[in-house]
Amino acid sequence: MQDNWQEYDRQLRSALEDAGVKAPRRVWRAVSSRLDEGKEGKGGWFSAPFFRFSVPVFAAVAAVVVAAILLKPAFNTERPLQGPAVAEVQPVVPSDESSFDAAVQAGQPAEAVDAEAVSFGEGLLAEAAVPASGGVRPDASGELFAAASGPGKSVSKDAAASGSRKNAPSSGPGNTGLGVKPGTESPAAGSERVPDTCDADASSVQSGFAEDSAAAPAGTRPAARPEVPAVEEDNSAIWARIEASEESLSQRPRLSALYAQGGLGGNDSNLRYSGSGISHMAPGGGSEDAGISEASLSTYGVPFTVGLGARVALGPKLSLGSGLEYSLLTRTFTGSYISSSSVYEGSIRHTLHYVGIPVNAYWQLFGSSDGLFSLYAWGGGTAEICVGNSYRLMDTGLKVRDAAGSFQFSAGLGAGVEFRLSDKLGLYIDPSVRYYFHGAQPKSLRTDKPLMFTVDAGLRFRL
Amino acid sequence: MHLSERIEKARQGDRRAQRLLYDALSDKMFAVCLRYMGNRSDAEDVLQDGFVSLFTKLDSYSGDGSFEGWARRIFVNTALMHLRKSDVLKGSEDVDAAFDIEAPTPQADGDLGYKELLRLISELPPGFRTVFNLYVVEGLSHKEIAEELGISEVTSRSQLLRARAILQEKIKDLKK
Repeated sequence: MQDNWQEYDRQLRSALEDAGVKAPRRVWRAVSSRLDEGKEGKGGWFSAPFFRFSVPVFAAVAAVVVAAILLKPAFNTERPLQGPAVAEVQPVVPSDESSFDAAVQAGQPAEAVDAEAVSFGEGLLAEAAVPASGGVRPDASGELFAAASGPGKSVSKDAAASGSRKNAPSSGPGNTGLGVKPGTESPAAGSERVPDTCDADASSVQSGFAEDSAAAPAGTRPAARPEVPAVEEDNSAIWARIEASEESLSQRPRLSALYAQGGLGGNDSNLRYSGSGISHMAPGGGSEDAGISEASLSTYGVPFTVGLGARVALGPKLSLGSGLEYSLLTRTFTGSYISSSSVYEGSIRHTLHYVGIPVNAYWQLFGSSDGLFSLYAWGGGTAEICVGNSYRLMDTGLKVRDAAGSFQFSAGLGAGVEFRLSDKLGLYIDPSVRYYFHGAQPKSLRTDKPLMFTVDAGLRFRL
Repeated sequence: MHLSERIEKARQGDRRAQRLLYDALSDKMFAVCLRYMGNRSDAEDVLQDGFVSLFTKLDSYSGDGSFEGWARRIFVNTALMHLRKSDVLKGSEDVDAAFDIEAPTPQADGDLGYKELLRLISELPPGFRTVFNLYVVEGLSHKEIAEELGISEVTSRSQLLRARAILQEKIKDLKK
């Protein structure tokens, strides 16, 4: 009777010990954020709450300072720009999104498969690997380790594979049949548990259960685990899983984050450029003189961009982002507009609207994706199409439309820093240099000063 | 990088190293939690608490012996703590240990997979389930179980017997 149960229990145990059930992803997030909270407990100036609150404040201040530096020339030059430019700075910082965890989050869905496969795999290894659960008898251990050392010693990646092979003859992946003949699955297992083991080894097993001395069994039963090499054997199964998980983390592309961002561009102190005398920019109709003529230098508004997009992690450090963005370019000048019916002279505001698709690659330089902040470099290109091109005659309020539809290409290169605000939310600032290829664009700051310094800021929302 | 280095990095708070350990352990440990708690929501709580505890106690892993075995004990202990807290183990003491039940005989359960097994075990009353898990899977003796759960050895034996009887019954039903 007792023997019956012994064998029965052994089978049950071997089936259950290797059981793996896909753990929900939210658990890791909860663990991760609790570990952060744990750091708070340690207190001090640089504890997490300090960081938590100082980071967004610092980021906002930094953004405002940068924007102020950028905008300064605009303030100094001419009036019409001040209003809109400043007003637009505000929405930029708070209205964006980011997240940096691209890398680590990356592998998750894909790993599921791996993990499942692997968790079945190491029947044999795992069996040997749990000292407290088995009550290994000294005389059995030799055999146990002999059996375990094969797959364990070889390249550790193999442990997973060899483990599954072991299960294969029984009932295939996903089903460690209980009825499987003892022995096919793990030859060592039989010897691992002997009728009186549980009771006889009571004290040693128990010491294993005291949490603080959790690793005790190794010490309390020197006979069962005689040599150090055995340790490597013990852990080869988990080591194989770590490697597998690391591999999948670094290999599978995965949608990792959504972002919303705003950007300001504009570079040096001279935001006024020549351009007087150009005429016929807008359809006038009628006479030869019809259209808009510039009689002064232009004063440019600071280009403003907002965008939404997503990031895909391609590896632990590399990710790719794309989305949709909108840009607004303005300038004002003194000029005239002649149409068949009227002549206007005075201040004219020229407004261009662009909609574009950016494609950027990001490379993480410093900081962990789960950490409080990280630093990265990025580069990429943007294709934009001009969707609006119009002149407003300021004194009359009349609006004159001009041709739109041309394509604008640009390439950008920058660095960025992201602050983690919460488990899912990060705030980033990306200063960069961007070059605008001329193409056949309506006149704008981009055509006058194709190399531009811009600052994007945003919020990234991790998935 | 060796496991010990990885553990050391995780101990220092490197989130990526912690994540890798988590990934390597989470599915197995979730099965352990399910086996003790009997439902996903409690098992998730235990999994979470267990990992927080694991990462804060990495110091106490001596580096000898199985890391997974060490981890498993943390999860079992966390589960027991939860069970004790929710008082479900208390009720089990009410089951009269002297009450005689017919000793079941093991059924050859053919091709029961671990998922079925987990489900059957999770359907056991908490007290029976706990004793069954500790004895059969973790390999504790009745004496240890009695100390661990604050019950008598006789109760532990009787609960194991009952757990077996119920399980056999369920397996029989399943086969019909």
